[in-house]
Amino acid sequence: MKRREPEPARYAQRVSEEARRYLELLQAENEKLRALGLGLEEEWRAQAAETEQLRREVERRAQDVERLRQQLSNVEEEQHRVEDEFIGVQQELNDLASLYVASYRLHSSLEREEVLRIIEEVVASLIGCEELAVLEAEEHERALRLVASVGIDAEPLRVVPYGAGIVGRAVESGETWVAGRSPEPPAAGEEHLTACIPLVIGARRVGALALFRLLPQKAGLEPLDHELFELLGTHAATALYCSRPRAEVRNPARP
Amino acid sequence: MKKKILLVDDSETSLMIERRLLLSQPYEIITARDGLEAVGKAVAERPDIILMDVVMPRLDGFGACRALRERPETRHIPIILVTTRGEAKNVEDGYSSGCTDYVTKPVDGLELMAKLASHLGSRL
Repeated sequence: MKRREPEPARYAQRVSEEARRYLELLQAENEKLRALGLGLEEEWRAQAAETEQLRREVERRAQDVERLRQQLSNVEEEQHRVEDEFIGVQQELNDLASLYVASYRLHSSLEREEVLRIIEEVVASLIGCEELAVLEAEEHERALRLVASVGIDAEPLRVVPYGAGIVGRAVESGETWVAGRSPEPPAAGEEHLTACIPLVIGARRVGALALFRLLPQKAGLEPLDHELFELLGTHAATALYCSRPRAEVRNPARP
Repeated sequence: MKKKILLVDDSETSLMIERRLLLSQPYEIITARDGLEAVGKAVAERPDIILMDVVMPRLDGFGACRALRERPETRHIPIILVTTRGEAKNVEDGYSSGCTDYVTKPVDGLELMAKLASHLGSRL
């Protein structure tokens, strides 16, 4: 059977209606999309504002971190400074303690043997030298006589005339001699001399303290050692001088 | 509670120096003049640590170390020997006699305090 063709007017109307409905649908969709777009734009703006705020916050926090890091570094620096200062003060206290003990011990006896033993102890315990000689001045003979020695061959130092060798010259000049400071030729028995301290009370020569090799672990003389030399120069002199009368009473021939 | 330190030395000068060096620290200090007296004092007083010279009359530091290590009541006490010579042989003798550590003469105050603090588990 042959199909009937639609009438042109009705067909056109139907197409027109469908086109209108489609257009309305498109417009509605478009409206929806526009609203969605506006919403998204608003959301984007809000997020952008939030991002900016967060960025500023991060920046602020980074500055805080940098500030705190700087503060920490300052505190650490201060702590190191205080620690160094503490160590310095402690060292100074220790040095003072050593000087105090040396002085206290040197004046704690009038017995000759005890005084000599204390001199040896001070030199060994505080300076770190176990090779030494103690010589006493015999003014009328213008010579030094050995009264005690430890760890050395004492024979060449039994009697040392004033001005002879490093020891004799140190006593004559009244100046402490320290190895390496002045290139003086050593006399017999003075080869390993580290220091020679004249023992004096005012202008009176009392004797000399000759220190030879230091203990192996001691690399060299330290600032405290020089202070101890100074202390020994007068305090050991006084101790030795004050112990002499008793020694002479006990042994008139040889104190 | 204060930590108790037993200082052992036949030299009054050395004892006095060690006492003065430790004066600023919160330690109770007791002393002995030779190894034999040190063993007796360690048994009676139970110090937290012993600082002992090597060369002493009657019983030297090595002998006292060995005696202290043989006794159950003192074998745990840390012993720091004060040696005159820091050579390997001397140090080896110290360790083989049972010492925990050593310092050499002349005693460095800061080193001594650091070692005591370290062995006593305290801070300077």
